[in-house]
Amino acid sequence: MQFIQSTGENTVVTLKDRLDYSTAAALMEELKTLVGQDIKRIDFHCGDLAYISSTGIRCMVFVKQKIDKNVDLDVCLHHVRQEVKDVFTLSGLEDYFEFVD
Amino acid sequence: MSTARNVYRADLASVPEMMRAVEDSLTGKPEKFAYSMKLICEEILVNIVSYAYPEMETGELTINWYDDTENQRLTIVFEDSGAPFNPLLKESPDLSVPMAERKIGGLGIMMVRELSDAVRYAYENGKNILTVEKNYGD
Repeated sequence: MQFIQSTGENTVVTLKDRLDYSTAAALMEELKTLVGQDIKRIDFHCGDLAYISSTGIRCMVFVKQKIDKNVDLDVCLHHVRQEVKDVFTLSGLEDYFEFVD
Repeated sequence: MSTARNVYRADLASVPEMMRAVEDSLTGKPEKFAYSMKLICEEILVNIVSYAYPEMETGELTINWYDDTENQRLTIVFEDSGAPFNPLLKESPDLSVPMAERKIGGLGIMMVRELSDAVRYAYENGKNILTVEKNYGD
């Protein structure tokens, strides 16, 4: 599965179905390719993401800690379902991402 | 009370089969409850298959289900014969520190603690026994 749809100043990533122990490693490999690039904004399209576990949350923390290391990166999460957003809240991360409906 | 007992090989390759059984067992339960239980089970199962048995050694993982339909309370007991390991002793990450310093180790077990109504660990007869309880009633 290809998560990153386009790269550049505005990078677009699509998350579908489940981001868990079975899929997070593949996403992480793709996200690692973004480290050090001149990215201003990442849009995650999450409308079809039904489930995220702590393994998936690790990927999102990676985005904030490694890709957002030296620049002021905007990370927007679009159309996040409530049950998925609840996991961000449980993880204490909801304030670090912009949730857009 | 309805009960079920399933035995699996305790390896990562078996987790999809275990999670399918978890999802099947949660069919018909309230959506929010089912989501929480899926999260809880994934965290525990991945934890057990990752830490209970040393590499190249295989063991078993048993999942016992006790669905108290009268009191609307589901109890799941996970058992393995691996090295004694209490995941509940894992420290939760400090959520008050800034993102740059945030550590994420222990996040999964913190979720298990937060989402369960009761969770306890015991080491008995050479087995790690982790019990999770959660109500699904109003």
